Amino acid sequence: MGLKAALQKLDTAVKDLTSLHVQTFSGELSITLSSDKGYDTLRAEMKKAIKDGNLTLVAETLAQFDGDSYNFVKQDLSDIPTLALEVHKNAVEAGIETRLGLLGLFKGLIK
Amino acid sequence: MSNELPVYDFPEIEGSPSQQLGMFENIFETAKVNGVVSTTPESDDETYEVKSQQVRIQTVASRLWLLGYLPKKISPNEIEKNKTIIRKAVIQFQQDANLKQDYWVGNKTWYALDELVSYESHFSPVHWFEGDNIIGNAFVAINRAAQLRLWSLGLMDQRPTKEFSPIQMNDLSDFKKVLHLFSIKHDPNRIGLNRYSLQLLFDQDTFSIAIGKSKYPNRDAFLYNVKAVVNSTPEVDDISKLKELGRKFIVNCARIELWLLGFDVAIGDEVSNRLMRKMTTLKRGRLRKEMTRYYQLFEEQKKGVASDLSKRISPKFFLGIAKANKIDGETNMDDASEQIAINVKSTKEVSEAWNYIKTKGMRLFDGLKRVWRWIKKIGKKVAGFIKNNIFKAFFRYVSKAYKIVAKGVKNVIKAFKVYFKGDMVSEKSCFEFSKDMDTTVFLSQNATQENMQASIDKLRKQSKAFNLGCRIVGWLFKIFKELVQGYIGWAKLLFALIKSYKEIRILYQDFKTVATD
Repeated sequence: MGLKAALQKLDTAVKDLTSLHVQTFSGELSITLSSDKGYDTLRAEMKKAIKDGNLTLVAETLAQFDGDSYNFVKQDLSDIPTLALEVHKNAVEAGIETRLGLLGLFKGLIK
Repeated sequence: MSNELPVYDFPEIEGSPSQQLGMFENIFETAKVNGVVSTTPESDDETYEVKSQQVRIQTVASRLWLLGYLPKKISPNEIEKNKTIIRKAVIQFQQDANLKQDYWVGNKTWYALDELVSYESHFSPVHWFEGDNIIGNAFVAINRAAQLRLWSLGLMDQRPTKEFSPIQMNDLSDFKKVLHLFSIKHDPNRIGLNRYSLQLLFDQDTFSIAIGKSKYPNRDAFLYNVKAVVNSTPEVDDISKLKELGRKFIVNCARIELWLLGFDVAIGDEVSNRLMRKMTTLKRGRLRKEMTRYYQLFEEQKKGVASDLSKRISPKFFLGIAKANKIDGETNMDDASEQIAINVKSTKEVSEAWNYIKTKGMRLFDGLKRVWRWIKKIGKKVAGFIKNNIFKAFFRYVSKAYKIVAKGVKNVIKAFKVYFKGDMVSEKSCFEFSKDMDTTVFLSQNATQENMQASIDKLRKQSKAFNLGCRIVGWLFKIFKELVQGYIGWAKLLFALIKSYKEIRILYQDFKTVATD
C-alpha cells in the first residue's frame, strides 16, 4: 500500500477528525492472541465482558477541537491497575499527536 | 551510460489531496529507481542495479580496486559489463573484513570500505579490534588498507594487489622514521600492526599539522628532526636519504590535501628524484597548477602571488591547511545545506551538479569535513569556493534528505496499516482504533506497572513516528509544490530536497529514536 492508497482509504473511512474520543476499560480480561484466536474473537469477548459488567469504564475523554471537551474518571480506583489513568492520558495524547501529524502531511495542500 | 538527468515526464501535481500526495510519492519513488538520488540498496540484487545504483557501485568498485580486490580500475562506462567481477570482489572483501558474506553492500559493508579507504573516517573499534589487536577475521582487509595508506603517503612502494602479501614489521620502518622526522608524538615501542599504530597512520589531520610546524623559525623552509630518527634507529647513517623520505612524504601529503579539497591531482603518483633531493621549484604541471588555484580560491591570494607561492611546496601551505583542519569539521555540518543551496541557483546548475556526480565515484564520499571547515573559515563568501565542492556537498545533502523522507514515508504507511487494521495488542492490554482514529483501551486488572509502561511506550512510539513521519513528508511536499520556483524536471525535486534538509533534519533527530525500519 502506498501513500495515495492509504489516504484514499482514510478519506472513505474517516467521518470526523475534529474530535477525539478515548475510553479506557479495565477488568477481568485475558488478552492473549493465538493463531486460533484472532483479534475479532478478542473484540467479541471484550464487548461481552462490558455488557456483563466484567469490564468497567475507568476514564473517558471526548475532546472537540473547536472548544468543548468532556472528561470522566471513575471515582473508586481501588481495583484498577496503577498507571491505568496514565495509559488513558497517553492514549489521548497519542490521538492528538496522530491528528497533528495528518495536519503536517497536508501542510502543502492547505492554502 | 548517459550523464544527463533522466527524462522527467510527470504532469503538474493537481487533484484531491490524496491524488496530489500520490503523484508526489510516485515522483519520489521514481527518483530512486532512475538513479536520480543515491540510496542504500536494500538487497543483494538491488546493489548491482546499475540504473539506480551507479554512483554507489562506482564508489565501491574504486575502493575495492584500491584495496587490491580488483585487477584494474573500472571506469563509469564499464560498470555494467563488470558487474560479475565487482560482485566477486565484494564477497572476497566481506570474507576478509569480518562481515556477513552475502554480496549485499548495505550499511555495514559500505561503512567498512569507507573506514578503510577514506581519509576522513574513523575506525569503528568494535568491528576491527579486540583491545589493541586486530580481530582475526578482519586481518586481511586491515592489512590491505594499511598497505594502501602507506603507499599513498610514499612510505611503501606498491599498492595492495590481488595476491595478498601481509605487511611485515620492516614495511613500517619508513613510517616510524617519518613519525620522528616530523616530531609526531607517539610511543615508538608500540608501533606495529595494531590499533594504536593504525589510528596514527590513518590520522591525516595530524600529519598536516605536524608538517606545517616542521619549519625553521625564521624562514619558510622545512626543518627535519633528523636527530630523533638517529636516536631511535642508530643504524640509520644516511641523513640525505632521510631527508628524501621526508620530502616524499610532504609531497604526498600535499597531494592528499589538495585531492580532498576537490583539486585535480592524483594520489600516489611517483615523486620525482629532483623533488626528493631538494624541495626545489615545482615544475609546471598538474600539482603546481592546482596549488596555484588553491592559493587563489582558499587563501584568497591574487593570481601573481598564488603563482609565486606554488613554485615550491612550503610549510606555509601546510600551515594554511592545518589552520582550517583545526576547525571542528563535524559540528553543524548540516547547517551548510542552506549555503550550498544558494550556490546551486538554476536547473542548469543542478544538471551540472548531477553530471559531475555521475562521474566522480568515491570522491563524493571523502573530503566533506574539509569542505565544511573551509566554509566555516571563509564564511558566507563561498562564491570563490571551488565549484566541484559545492556539487559534492549538494549531492550529500540531497542523499541525506532523501533517506530521511523515504523513512518518513515508510513509517507513515506502516502506522496507517495499524490504524486501518483497528487494533494494537500489548501484554495485558490492547488498543482498538475506530475508523475516525478514536481509541478504546482495554486493560487487564492483573496488568503490572511494567505491562502498563510497555503499552504506553508501544502506543506513543507509533503515534510519534507517525506524527514526525507525516511532518517530514509534508514539509518536503510543501517545498516541492510551493517554494521551489524556477526549476524544472528532476532539478525541482533535487533542489526541494536540499532546501528542505535543514528543517527535516531537526525532525529526524526525534524521528530516528522511534522509527522502525
